[in-house]
Amino acid sequence: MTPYRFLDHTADLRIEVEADTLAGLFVEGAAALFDITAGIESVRIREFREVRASGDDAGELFVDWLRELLYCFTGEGMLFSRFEIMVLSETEILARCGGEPFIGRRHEVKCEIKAVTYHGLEITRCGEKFRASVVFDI
Amino acid sequence: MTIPLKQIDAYRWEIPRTGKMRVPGLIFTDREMLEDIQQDQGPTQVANVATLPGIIKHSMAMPDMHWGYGFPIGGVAAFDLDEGVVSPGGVGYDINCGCRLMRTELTADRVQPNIEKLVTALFGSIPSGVGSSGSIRLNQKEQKAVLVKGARWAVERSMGTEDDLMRTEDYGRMEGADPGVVSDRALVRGRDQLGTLGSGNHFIEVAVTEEIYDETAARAFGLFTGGVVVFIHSGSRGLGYQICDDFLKVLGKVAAREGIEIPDRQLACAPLKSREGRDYLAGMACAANYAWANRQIMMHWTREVFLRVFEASPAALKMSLVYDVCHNIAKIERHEVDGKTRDICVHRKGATRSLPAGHPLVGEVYRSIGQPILIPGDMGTGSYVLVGTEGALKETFGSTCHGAGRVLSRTAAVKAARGRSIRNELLGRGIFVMTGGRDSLAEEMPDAYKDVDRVVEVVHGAGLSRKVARTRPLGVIKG
Repeated sequence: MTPYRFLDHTADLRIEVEADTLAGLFVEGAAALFDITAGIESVRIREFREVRASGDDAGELFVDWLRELLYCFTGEGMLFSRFEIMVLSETEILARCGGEPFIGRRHEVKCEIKAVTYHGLEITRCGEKFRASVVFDI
Repeated sequence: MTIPLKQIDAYRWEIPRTGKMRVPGLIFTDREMLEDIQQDQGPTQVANVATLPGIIKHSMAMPDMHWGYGFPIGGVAAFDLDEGVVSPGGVGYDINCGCRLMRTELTADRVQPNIEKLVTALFGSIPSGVGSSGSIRLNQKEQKAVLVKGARWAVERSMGTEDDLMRTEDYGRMEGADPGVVSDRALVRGRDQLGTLGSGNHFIEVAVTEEIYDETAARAFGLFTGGVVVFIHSGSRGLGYQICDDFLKVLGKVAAREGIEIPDRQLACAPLKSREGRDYLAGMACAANYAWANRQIMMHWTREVFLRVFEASPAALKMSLVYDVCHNIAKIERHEVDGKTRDICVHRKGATRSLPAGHPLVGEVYRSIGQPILIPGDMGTGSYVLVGTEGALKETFGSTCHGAGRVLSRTAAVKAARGRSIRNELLGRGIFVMTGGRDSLAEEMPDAYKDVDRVVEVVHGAGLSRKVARTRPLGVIKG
């Protein structure tokens, strides 16, 4: 069970993810993206790729990371289900992502995410938990 | 946060200027829809847009407005070319998402018995659904030609006629497109999606003209009671999404550099006179042109399907374009502001241009009548054809609504549809639907939308456009 939940938004998809660490938050955000797109259960790990992103602060970095991953699908047809964070700073992330190319007869696109937006973006820390909410344009 | 709204008359509510707002907000609606509008963050977004530099007169929203990202959907705002900004958030990801309408000589009694065959043939000929790719594969040189030429590119390849271009907003081609500012990523995403419908709220709808409100305009548009028409609603596909995405990142940094305070990151913007602002407009024009070529190609295939299914000659079918409008765009247009005529940048995000008879931007075909406006409703109710007015030119920089507007979120719609067969419910109303996506029927079901009749009554009553005809759906392809 992926720990993300849907928040209300009239036109688009707004989700909230939660994790114990900031790195965990980036992993959960990525998992949510691919779960919404194609169902993460259906993605086998057959190859690894390095994905890099940068931003001026944690919020922008979070969005940029998801934008890079989304392009891996929309531009290159890759689905991922495992994310190993190798470098994470305030402004940069480098991760090793495991997955496989989208195959029509095995995968189903559940929902086309057009883009990851900056709208209403929030990364907060509540006690021991990190939390982020983000709106996907669909 | 509750935004204070002051009623001006039956159709207008003002958001008084407070805090960092540079101008007041103005929402066109009626009392009943106002309750829905106040349920989400749409009014806050109208107020946010009002804080942007160089905004002129009002930050506006049409009656189909709802919560978007950055600008509200249904948002209209114009900016001074010297002091003002351009914002990709005021256009949206689906640049030049728009609608076109074709008319035919066919009547409903001939089409209704064949609707299943017709919709199935359309579904088989026009790729739809998530990430759909088409039969046209573009090399980079050809793709760049599409980005510069727009619908003309398709016409030059025998997918349409000169007459189609005469009946398209801006003749299907936006000036100033520069493929040099378009990223490789955008080109990759666009290379095999030309001539595809896409997913979400995109559709092709076969409908019948049910009611005529303005005989003269309807005749000029080729519409008659009982006549069959086709709507095509789509946009610039992955190419447009990527161009918007690329520039949001760039313009976010420009806003910071220029000291422009933005209340929402999605309102990233750049001065219209900055290089980045001009580059965005040049990239946006590329996507706009791609979208016009896309709708032109799908119309061409739709025509071919009709000719085949009804075994008719083009002369007998008289299937021609009524008009094509875009409803996600920013344009430099000439308007009268405080008694002076000047060029300004009008953002329409989920709003349609509305120009009256005699306006120089209305093509010659309709100059004496006014610009046709296409308002698709939800797939179970109906759609409208309107005509542009002086009122819009005076009050909204020549803008009106663009559709019914969502009222339920997609997840709420899927929940509300649980245990129901939306397909059979529509069939019960005589509407045959085919869809590619698993949840798209539920997400797009009629209950998810505002009442299009009410939306149109507001723009008609407020004088932002005038009713010409109403159509009822017979068959729909949903992406």
